[in-house]
Amino acid sequence: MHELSIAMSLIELASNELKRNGGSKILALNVKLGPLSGVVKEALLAAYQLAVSETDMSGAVLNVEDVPVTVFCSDCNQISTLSGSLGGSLRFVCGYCGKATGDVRSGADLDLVSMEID
Amino acid sequence: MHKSIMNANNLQAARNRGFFAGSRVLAVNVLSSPGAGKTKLLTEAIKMLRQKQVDGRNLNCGVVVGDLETDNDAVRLRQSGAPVVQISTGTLCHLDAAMLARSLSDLAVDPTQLDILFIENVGNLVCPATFDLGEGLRITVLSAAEGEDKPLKYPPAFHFADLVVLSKSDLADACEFDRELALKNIRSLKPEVEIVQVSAKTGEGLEVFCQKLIDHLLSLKQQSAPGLLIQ
Repeated sequence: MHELSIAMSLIELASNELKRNGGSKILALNVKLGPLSGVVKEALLAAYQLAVSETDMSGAVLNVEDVPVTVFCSDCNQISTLSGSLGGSLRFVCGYCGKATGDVRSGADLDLVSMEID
Repeated sequence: MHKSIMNANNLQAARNRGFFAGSRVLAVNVLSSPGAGKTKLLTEAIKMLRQKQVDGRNLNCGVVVGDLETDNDAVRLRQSGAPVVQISTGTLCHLDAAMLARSLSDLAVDPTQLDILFIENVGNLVCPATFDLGEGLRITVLSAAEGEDKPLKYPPAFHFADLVVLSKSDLADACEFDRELALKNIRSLKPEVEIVQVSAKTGEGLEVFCQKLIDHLLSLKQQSAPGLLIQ
């Protein structure tokens, strides 16, 4: 359960961004989350609700967009998107030639990408 | 905007990484579930490493060990002869980069004089995987008693490993551990990862494990040749 400390980092990051941008209130946070981040979406949402309620950002909505895992294949010079769930049917192979590749280009994302400010 | 939520930790991890590279210390972050044998593995490996020579002198090792409570692991690790710092995390389930940085000043030796610093993370295959400590090498330990499908249940811990140790190999037969299936599962998450099978109890594979660490240390020493020394 490290999601609570991550939710608190998110709130701190967002409130610093608000100060930098000179707004008065955050309406929404838009976050991109990949399965390799090790963070569970539902746990992050629950931890965020708990953490934000005690702050002056209370009421700011957290939107989480799932990012798929993509890998690069040096033989094909192509990036492919992996399907299936991590630990389930997902395999780290090139979608074009089937060669195993661990050259991950996305999927570890845990990023604040935009905010809606009043 | 595009900012990592892990930004604060990642910045400190980058500082740690720079410190280790500049001091040419191989920092090794060791992850596993509780009871996989991290402490025994490190204790035996350090005993062996301290007898090995690089650049005409014996290797210096140090350990930072994280646990929620007790200093039992630190007491055991000190039997290796290396300086050990225990971090008690309270209820926190992982070490972060700032905790590691703070702990270095508590080591009984100057950390820049070490060759290898082992960081025994909190026994947990979930949370530590998310927190970069600034290590040069990440090891995930899977014991024979845990079952072959553990990598599939905890993918990030294995995906981000540079080296996977299959520990307690002496128990493999008793636990009906399917080594080939374990290897296949690990490689499905990270095709090119190094894997070594060790029994810290019997000594099987320990020499191979230590040699891999020395290889990583030598490659680090070559990469970060001394920079500008201003007298």
